[in-house]
Amino acid sequence: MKKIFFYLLVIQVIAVSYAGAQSRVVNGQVSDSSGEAIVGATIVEKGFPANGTSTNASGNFKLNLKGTSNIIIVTNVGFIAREVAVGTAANTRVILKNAGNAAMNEVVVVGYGRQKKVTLTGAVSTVTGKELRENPTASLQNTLSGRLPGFFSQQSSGRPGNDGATFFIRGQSSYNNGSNTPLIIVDDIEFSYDQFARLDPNEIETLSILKDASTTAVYGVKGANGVVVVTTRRGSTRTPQISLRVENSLNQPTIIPHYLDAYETALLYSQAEANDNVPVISRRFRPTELDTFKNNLDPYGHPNVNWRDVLFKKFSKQYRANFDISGGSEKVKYFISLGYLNQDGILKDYSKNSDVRNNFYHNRYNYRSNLDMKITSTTDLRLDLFGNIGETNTPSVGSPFGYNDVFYDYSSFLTLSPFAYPIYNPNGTLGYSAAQRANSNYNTNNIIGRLTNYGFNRSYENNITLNAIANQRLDFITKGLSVKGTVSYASNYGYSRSQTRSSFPSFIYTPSTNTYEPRDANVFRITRYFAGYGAGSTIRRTNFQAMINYDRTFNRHRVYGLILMNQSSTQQFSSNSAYNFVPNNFRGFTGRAGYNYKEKYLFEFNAGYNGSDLFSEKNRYGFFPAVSAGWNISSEPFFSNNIKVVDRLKIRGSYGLVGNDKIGSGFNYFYVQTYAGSGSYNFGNTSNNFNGIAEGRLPNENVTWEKEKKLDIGLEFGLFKNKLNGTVEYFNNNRFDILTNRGTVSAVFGQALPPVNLGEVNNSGYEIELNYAGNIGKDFGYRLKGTYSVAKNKIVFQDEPSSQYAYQAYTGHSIGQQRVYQWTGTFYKDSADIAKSPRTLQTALPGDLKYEDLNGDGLINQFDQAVLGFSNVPNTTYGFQIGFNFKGFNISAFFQGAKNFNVRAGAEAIRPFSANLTEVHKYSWTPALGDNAKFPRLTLGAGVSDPLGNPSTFWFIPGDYLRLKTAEFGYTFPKKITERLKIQALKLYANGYNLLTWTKLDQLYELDPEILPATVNTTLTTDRVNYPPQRTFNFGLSVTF
Amino acid sequence: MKKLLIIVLVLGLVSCKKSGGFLDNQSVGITESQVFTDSARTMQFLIRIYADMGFSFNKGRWSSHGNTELSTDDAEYSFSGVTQCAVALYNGTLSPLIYYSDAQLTQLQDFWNVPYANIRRVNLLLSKLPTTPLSPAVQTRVKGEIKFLRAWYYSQLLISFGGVPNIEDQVFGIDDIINLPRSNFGELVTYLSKELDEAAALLPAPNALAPAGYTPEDYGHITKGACMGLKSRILLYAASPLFNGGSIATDEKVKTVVSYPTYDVKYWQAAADAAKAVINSGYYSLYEDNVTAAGYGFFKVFLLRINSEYILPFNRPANKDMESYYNPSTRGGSKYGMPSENLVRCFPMRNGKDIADPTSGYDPANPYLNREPRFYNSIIYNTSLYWLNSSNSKQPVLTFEGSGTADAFLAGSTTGYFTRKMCDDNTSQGGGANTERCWPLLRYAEIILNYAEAVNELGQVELAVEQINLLRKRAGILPGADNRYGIKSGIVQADMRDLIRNERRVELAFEDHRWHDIRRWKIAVAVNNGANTVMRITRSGTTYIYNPQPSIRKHVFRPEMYLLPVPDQEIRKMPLMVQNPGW
Repeated sequence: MKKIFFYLLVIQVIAVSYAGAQSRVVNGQVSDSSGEAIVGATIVEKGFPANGTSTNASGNFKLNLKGTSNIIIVTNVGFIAREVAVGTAANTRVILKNAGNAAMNEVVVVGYGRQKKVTLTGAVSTVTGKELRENPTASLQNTLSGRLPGFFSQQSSGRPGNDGATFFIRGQSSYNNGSNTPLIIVDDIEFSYDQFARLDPNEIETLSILKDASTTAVYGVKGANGVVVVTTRRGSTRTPQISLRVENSLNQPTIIPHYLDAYETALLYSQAEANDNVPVISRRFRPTELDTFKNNLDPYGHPNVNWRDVLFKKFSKQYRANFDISGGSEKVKYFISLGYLNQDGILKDYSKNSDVRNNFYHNRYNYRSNLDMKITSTTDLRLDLFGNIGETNTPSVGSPFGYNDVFYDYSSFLTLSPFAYPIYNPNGTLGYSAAQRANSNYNTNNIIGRLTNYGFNRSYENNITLNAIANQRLDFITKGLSVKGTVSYASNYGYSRSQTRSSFPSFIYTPSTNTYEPRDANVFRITRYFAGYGAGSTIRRTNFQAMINYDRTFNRHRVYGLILMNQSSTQQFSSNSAYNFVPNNFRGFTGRAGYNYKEKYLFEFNAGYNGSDLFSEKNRYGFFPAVSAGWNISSEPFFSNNIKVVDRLKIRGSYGLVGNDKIGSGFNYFYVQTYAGSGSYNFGNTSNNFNGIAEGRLPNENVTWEKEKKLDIGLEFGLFKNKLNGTVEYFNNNRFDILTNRGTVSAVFGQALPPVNLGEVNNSGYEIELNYAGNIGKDFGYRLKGTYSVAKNKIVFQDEPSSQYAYQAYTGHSIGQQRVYQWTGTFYKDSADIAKSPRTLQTALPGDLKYEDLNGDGLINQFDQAVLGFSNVPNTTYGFQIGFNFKGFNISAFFQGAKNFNVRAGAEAIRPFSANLTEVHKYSWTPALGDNAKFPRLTLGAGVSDPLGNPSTFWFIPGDYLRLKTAEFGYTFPKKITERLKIQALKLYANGYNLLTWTKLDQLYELDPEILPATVNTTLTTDRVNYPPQRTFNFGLSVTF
Repeated sequence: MKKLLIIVLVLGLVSCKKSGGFLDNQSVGITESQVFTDSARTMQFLIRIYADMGFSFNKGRWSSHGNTELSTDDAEYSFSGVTQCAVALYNGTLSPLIYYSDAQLTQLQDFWNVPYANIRRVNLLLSKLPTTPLSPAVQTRVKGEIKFLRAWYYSQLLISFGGVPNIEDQVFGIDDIINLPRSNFGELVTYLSKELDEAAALLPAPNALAPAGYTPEDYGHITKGACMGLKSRILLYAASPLFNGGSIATDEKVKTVVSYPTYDVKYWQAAADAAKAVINSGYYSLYEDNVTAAGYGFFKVFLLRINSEYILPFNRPANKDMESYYNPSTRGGSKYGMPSENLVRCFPMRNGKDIADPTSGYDPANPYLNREPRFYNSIIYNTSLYWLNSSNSKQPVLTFEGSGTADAFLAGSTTGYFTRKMCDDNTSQGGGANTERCWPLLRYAEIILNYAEAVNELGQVELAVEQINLLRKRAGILPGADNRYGIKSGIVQADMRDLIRNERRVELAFEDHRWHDIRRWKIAVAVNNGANTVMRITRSGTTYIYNPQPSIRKHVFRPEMYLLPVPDQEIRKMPLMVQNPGW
């Protein structure tokens, strides 16, 4: 690798000396009226139409003049062409005026470069940093769904520091967990999911998603899941500009279940006991006790605690501040940014008095310094240093079964029923109850005491990335040629600390005798804290890239291309000692060749040739080509002369092969077999332990990448003077060679088999995006934007053993669909009804769910479970954005919805008396309600209707939702005032996130519709409430000096 | 000049590609040849096969708690969730698909997978053995050990499923297409007894001294005696009603796969002979001590790492395994396997008479008085003493309802009892010393019971009585004037059969037998249906009132459940396989 830089150096030296030999060279920069550089503008010498060039990514150009006119013609689509007389100045500045056609000159970021949207042949969607900054949540990806057509996400948690949604581009194409995550590229460097979520939106210039083969093939083996490309903000030639943004938010969960009070819960408990034929004498509550609960006659013996109010705040706070400074001269440009984020937790601060902060919280500091240096007239150097420091706190709670999550306690009836225990006794000590103590698995002491005393677990992380990029123009060899070298180093380090303790006294108060009994006689004081430390692991990644670029316009022909070598090495901890800090290496070559004629006929060829150490020598490299073409029909005279309504119409298509090397979780070589330590046994008259060795999984020497054939056809149009712009896109992706654990090899084999490349999934769908911008009068402007994305996948082959009944096969269905009983919609009426219905495995009782006997054998067993419903990831997502501005005011609202996915809950999330009871349990089956019941009969056991043991469509609720995802109201102070204040701009705004939700889920569950994580799992249920996604009300101020 | 530069640049790129081995395997794992060309590693490979030997006995078999004893009429669980494996075995939801219906229930596949995984290990080692650097003598010994171990894992399959695919010495490779039929039951039994005979011939006797036998450091390796003991168990199982002409299959082919299709008394004779061979070998004896206290031997034997009775111990370092599994909450234990009232009633009185016998002296108002010593050594009942570390002495365990302790009925105990058997009651999970002890996978008392059961079926009732009385004597039961330990004279075969079964249940309680026994005797439909009885005790003043009542845990046992269903996918993957009858 060193060699390359040596050569680069040599080239530079030569180039510098060589450049001086030219006779008349024009250097310059082309920008729009706002000062933004224009990329790809064409510069032609007047009278010499063949002598032309185009501007590079920073809007700069250089042209050798051949004639004597000293006039250049600068053109760019969407701008008014200009003839500029070149003076004697070293640097010619050209400002082009907008032709009033924003869509035409949009530049989009693609892999290793930029393209004018009009000449793009691939499928790319973009949001600007400005839009991202309307998102007040801590994680970058949380509002992209619905904004970017083709972007699907699920935000299953709102826990501070962990609230990033999982996301996919064009849905899922592989049934291997972890194999669907898109590649994330920030300034040409690969990022991990976590690093991405930690990016500060303030640093972002644009965010694009690349969706089809032509745009992703350059990433070769990493591109099949789509690519997220982020560019960060850079300085420009202007006086220093300082911006400051300060935001304060109030966060509130979108939903936390409201549980029934003690009386209603006790009443339903008795109803369940009656259903279970528990004799009245043996029931938990005597009828008089129900009265006691109802009238709250005995707050200590029969407490009624609203744990929701006790545990949770109405709002938690969030604070964010950003500071950046940018500017520069010809030689050096800079963008420097600092960001701070603090997210507080939802718990009430009971630990205040114990000097320990044990609420949830997340602190993050982001920093970035992007420098652009002009070393010589042909050499640019970029130095980027950025990273973040984070701290995430979770309370130590000591919940049963090691959950250590206060939301588990909250949702568990056995741990925290409304009558579990009084919080405090009359004498002020912490309360408890004999009943709770006797409940051995759930005997976990007073929760307020635990929140006060148990301390915290805190994790720290430190991400730092350094990029150095040198770009050398080689116009002396041939015009439009340049080389670029990149070195990047990223380090991600984390560790954790804890300060915890595990006991404190609480007392059981008996009102009748006015006596106090300790919960545990052996605990008479609060124990001391135990400090814990967990050494985290460092993930180190180095990345080298060398690129040759060529881009030249000959008259009406534009030819461009690149060749890139990319090599990366990642080292990290692995629990498997054979792989601990073993470098995971990758090397790839990428090529692109493009041609267009008058920006009318567009062609592009992209290819990746990649190698990875995940594969044996003979399968190490893969070749991934893609072709694409486009036709700007509206540029044809026959079209533009006849059809006036349509200003812009382009049809484009692409087809190619892309790969995926995210195969299986973790890093290992499937092509080697490793024997490893396993098990132990004792021998000897006096015991002596001996360790065992076991044969590892068999090797598969033929293991290779997952591959995907991607077809994409798109139509772009602009109507009514480009006020209405839109894109319609169809895609059809065939993922094949999916690594699959052989489903047809019997366990009699006796050893784990390696995964084999034989699965196949089809994923197809369409996307529609419409934009409308207009204004009424001079001051009132409005924008409308709508997107609609559909991505439906189907498992074509996964080596599934042939099912006895066709309806049991997963093949042919969507990834993640589950096998469940089909509920008939009715309940068993009475014993006569049960007698004449098909027999169930467990004894059915009146009020149990009645299932379809699909195979008609008179018996309801697992052979009657069919693959039904939808998977846990929506196959349709849509968004609608509306915005107005009037004078200094702006209002915008963004609605986002998702359709066609199922949520299934069990255990502490819905099952009565595992979970606390919600409103719906009041409408449990009784003979009087019959089929109007909303819930099967209550029971203390687990019977025919059990959501976990006997999953059925009853528990399968569509999670379809529509959300007011973000909304903003802002006021920008008029120039008159800001000038008086000696500042450039001042804006006050209020925005929000997840403000309103409409969902179908509430017919059964009081849960957020996105509660299920977007993982591939055919038995996925949510088994408890977890930290819900937040609703955010945010107030902000931004000042620019 | 220009061209030269381009060439240099391209060469630069290409040279990067060739810089040696950037993409080569850099992991540091060991390979097959590194294992089998090294004697120490080869022995480590053998150790891995030993390590799974106790998978079925293990009280923490599923989810680190629970095994088959919680699916029987002997004990109850502290959990009742439908996704607990032990619950799925008794609540009626068992089916060929249950192995896949829930993430926890996939653990039930261990019935099928653990044996086959270890059979492969045996076969792999067997194929490599001649090329390993082990000395010929050690090679011979190891061959005997792994042949035994293979038979041991097959025996686990046999009792659960009937005949299963017998892969003999094959080691499958990645390209093998496996579609094997199930071996006929009879053929598999013949194969296993032949294998055990061969293994026995290669292995030293347990009492042999080095160099002919094992050195003290090697104690715990398989012996000739273990081979004979396992053979006795397999042949007894094979002669049992479920397998000896008693299959519920209607299809003749299936019937042959899962059983001997027709009853033949010769199988009982074979079982009797195999048991007798162990007895005659003189290797083992019952560990008896009625001097320290009545029946003390039965208590002490489970606390000794080395004793005269264990034929196949599962060796453990000094441990608190049993205290951790069985101790009540007040003693820091996890109280798995709380004994049912059904089991408690099986313990005779001190005089050896059944409590149902009006002359036994049993008093329902004082049910724990004058029971035989094994009762006191197996069960923790209300007010019985157990080590309490905080008081450094034995203190009563209070299981009556509302006792205010974590052991109270419904609060801590679901049955009113806890398990004491195999526990050291001078220590507790909550504190105290570890005990040097092993798990009894196969012990001599079982051989005596096997022999008694077989000879009784052969009509030699009095010979059976003799055997049972050996156990009763060791247990500390009073011989009585007639020296028959409570067994009435002139007992007929059918009554003796019930008595032997009861004796087996009491003697081998919690030793991973009951689930198999009630199935092979075909009595599970009768005894493991409905609900177990639990003992609800209340206190009035100083008097305890005993109210046996049905448990809330409902058992459903249907005839097809006598054999486990073969996991459905196994049938789907190997079309030559047949499913067990009724599934």
